Amino acid sequence: MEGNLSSLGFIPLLPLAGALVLGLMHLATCRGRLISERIYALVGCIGPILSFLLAVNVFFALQALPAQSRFLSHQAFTWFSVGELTISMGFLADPLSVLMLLFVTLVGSLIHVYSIGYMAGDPAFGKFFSYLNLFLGSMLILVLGDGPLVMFVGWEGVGLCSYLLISYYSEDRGNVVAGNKAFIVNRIGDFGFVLGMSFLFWGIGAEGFDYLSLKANAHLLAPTLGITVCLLLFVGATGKSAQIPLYVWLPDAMAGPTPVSALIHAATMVTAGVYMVARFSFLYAQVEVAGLVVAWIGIMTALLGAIFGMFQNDIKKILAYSTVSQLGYMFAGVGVAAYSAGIFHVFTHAFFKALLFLGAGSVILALHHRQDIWQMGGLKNKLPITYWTMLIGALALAGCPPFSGFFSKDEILYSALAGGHTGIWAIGVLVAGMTAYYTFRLIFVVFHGQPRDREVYDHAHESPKVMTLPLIVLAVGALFAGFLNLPAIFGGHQQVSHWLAPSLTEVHPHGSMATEVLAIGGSVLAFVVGISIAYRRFAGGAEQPVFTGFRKFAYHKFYVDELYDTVLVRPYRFVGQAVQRVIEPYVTDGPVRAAAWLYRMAGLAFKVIQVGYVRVYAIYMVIGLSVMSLVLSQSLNF
Amino acid sequence: MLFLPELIVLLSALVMFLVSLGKPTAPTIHRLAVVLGAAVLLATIAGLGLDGSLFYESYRVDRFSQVFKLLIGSATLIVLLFSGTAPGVKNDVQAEYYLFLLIGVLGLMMLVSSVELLAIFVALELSSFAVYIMVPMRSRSGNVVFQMESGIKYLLFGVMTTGFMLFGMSYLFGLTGSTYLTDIIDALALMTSEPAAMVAIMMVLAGFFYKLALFPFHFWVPDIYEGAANETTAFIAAVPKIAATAMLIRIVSLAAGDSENLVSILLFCSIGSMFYGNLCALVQTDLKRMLGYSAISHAGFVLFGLLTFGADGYATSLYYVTGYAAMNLACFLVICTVATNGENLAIADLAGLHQRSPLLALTLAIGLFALAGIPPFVGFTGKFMLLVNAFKQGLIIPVILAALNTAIALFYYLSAVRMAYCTDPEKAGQTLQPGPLRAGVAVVLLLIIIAMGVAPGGFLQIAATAIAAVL
Repeated sequence: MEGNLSSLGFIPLLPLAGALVLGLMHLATCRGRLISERIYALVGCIGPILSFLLAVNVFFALQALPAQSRFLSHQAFTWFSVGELTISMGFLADPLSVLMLLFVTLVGSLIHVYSIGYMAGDPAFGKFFSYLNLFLGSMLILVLGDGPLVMFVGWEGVGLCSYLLISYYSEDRGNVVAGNKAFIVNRIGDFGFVLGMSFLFWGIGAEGFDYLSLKANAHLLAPTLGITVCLLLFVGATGKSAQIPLYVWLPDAMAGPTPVSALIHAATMVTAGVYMVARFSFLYAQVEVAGLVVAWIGIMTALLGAIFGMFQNDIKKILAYSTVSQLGYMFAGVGVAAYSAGIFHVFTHAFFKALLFLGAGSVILALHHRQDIWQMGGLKNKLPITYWTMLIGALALAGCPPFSGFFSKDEILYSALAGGHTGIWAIGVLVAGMTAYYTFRLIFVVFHGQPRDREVYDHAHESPKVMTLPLIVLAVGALFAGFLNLPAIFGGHQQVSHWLAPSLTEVHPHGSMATEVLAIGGSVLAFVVGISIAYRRFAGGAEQPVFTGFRKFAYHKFYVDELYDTVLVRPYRFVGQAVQRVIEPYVTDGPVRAAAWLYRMAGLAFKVIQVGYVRVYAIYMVIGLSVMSLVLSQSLNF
Repeated sequence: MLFLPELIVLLSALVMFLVSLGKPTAPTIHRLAVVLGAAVLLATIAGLGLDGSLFYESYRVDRFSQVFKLLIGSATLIVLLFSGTAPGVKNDVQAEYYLFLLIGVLGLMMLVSSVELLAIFVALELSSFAVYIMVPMRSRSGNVVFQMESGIKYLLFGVMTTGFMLFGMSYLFGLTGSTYLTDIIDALALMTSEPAAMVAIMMVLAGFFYKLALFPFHFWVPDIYEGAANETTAFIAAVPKIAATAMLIRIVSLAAGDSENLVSILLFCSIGSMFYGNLCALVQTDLKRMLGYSAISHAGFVLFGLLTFGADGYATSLYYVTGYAAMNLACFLVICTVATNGENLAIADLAGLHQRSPLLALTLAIGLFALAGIPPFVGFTGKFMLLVNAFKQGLIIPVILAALNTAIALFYYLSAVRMAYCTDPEKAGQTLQPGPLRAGVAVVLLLIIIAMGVAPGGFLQIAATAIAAVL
């Protein structure tokens, strides 16, 4: 039932090779001053684009197969072999991974192209592209890996790259702290992931530790162990995909260059958690409780993200919280066992969120790195392409029919409603309204009304083609991607869900027509209400409000960062300092130092013997030889 | 034909002698020396397959001796290659320096073939006297003024151990009535309970212990290492050790391990060398002196292989001493290059080497890591195999002591590496150009150190066939 396809190995290999070549070029030429940016750009973009073409090729290869046997794999090499267990660096292309592959490589390539314009003139241009390639390559390993272990390689790889890229402008200490935060928070999640993986291996790993073997043996997993594994894996997902309680790193990740934010928020990294849960749908489908936990945490994260998003002033922070919020939707989807709906939202989100971030980048660049929306205004005329493309992205994010975000979000909410999770549905609708509000708050304040800072406004100019072109391509995606999974009520056939079916273990709920209409009606109503409030407040050109009471509380993100700092970081640091001050010098170092001192003294003692006089040495030698001869002759019996 | 490699060495020495009559410049002499060294190496390669005996059976040419000659020839050529124009040697005696060096090589090559007591004695003295003279040839340009003292010390020690050895040889002759090693082996087999026989062997061994710098015959090492020119020290540290190991293998196999006490005495010398060398090295500040003490401890390891009295142990010792020569030469290459005027180097002089010359710093680091016995380098593999061999023999406590010693040794090796890598040069922007020749030699040495460490199988095979020729 599996075919072999050796080109699979090349898909992650190409960007990784690009990263290596770029890195070497950068290092070999004294930090890249001798090579023009064009060459870096060419080398940097060729890998992702070729990977995309290969991914398309894989897609068609899969499509040619009958639906239930759409599995292509490739074992690149044996990674390690312990006893009877052999883990190989294997790649698996099935409908799920190919869908991910397609948009990851497409959006990734567009972001690479966009970066040529955005990063122009950066002193470490080559280094940036090297990291970017590494990031994409790691994500592709994550997606294509044929088992949890290979996935974990990519999982850690994107974690590392996010650290490198978030703290890319490392002259500013704040950026470095943000990078550290992302890495450390991710590591906490990884701990859960590793534990979950270990339990899974303990349970059913002996027969083979790749997805297909695990899926075949999933029914052997004891229920309690199943819950443990699912919850631990989800802890990993909360880290990577920024869910409660580990979402805190994502807004800070804005410290990196804007293309990086786009890459993290749209194509790579944060989608990894959702993908992982969908990958393990055969486990989550078995333990409904775990799914419910996932769904509720997801929808609560969606609410929290939306609340925070409503009260932010930084253009990138607003988008960042919208990502947290949208990721919450995705988890709500996979949590209520609507895996294809969750993945479909990942898919559409990749387009409109990348679009919004790149658009925001275009605005930021036009305004010479100003990010406060209350310094903008009226930019519609100055940045027409950016405006129109971002508007499409905003409509998609806000869930306006027929933009892509509407269909995917509606699919999730409908699944929740049809599955009997009314509470999740209700919160989801509320969040949809909030989403429409804060998205259009951004659009109205930035692009409409009168310019708030005349001087900044006068110097603003549209970005070069190399940046606007990716915006346009993404806008087309944001506009039409939704039609790929058009539900029956609109005369569609849900191609994406059918395509994904062989990879996922899911039961489609059969809701009545009324349910469906209710879901759609709720979504549309929420959108209309949200956008009209935003219009009334901001379209005419409002001034920066002063936050008080609850708004101030929300603006400061409920002081969660401070809470974590007080409850976790400080005690931890205190213990560390205590260990350093008390245990290190006396308990661990003490004996070592004593031993070192002892040997040094012995050395000095021997040094005394080495006096430098030949006569003394001669006596030593004579004595030595005599004693040795004496011992020899004494011992023999005579 | 059987004498071909030695003959070439002798001819080379004569060429040097003729050259010394004129007034050639130092670079010319060095180029000539390298060419002669290469010729010697080629001759040893050509002579690899020779088999037979000469001079009334007192001189055996077999696989064993030829492999050792090849090793001696290679090590000599490497020393000649990296010593450059020998800045540490007096300018007016450069030709004579190489003349004596070649004569020393001749003596060592003859030594590994000698199977008769008088032949052994003559060969040993030939090589020793050449080296005695090389030590005081050091120039005064450096910061050293005691080269004469070192030369005299070296000579005095040498004479003394020669005395011991001759005394032992006379006992052997008196006991067995023959000076041929084969006859002596047969005769000694009948008198293992004779104290005089053991004492005689002990005294003959003392002569080679001296060459190999084993406790308690090692006292000359630090002073001579420090007093001799860097190039001379490199030669002394590598080449005679190889020949001395060959002779030790021959002599130790005389005793054939019958005597428990001989084992314990060898053990005592071996472990004593390790501790003495390592502990003294801990407190050294001069780089060559430190390497001298480390040489003492490594000699202990070589002996550790011999006292298992088995073909495996001998082969491992051969492997170890070869690897030791390579790692030591790597370190001395760096010393000779860094000390541009032939001065002595303190460990502190290595400061910031990684900025001054990355290749040299890497060479030094890998050389010292290998000496310290860190995988995957040859020092680790060699020590590991020696210890495993000894462990199989049931020598558990000595194995523990030896392992403890590798831990002690780590400190001083790493402190030199730390100095080379973790500090800044005293003057910013200072660089060192090793030159293509030295760079090439450095890379070759590093490859040898790594290749022998990672894939010891091939070399052990050669060593085993060589050892099989003597047993």
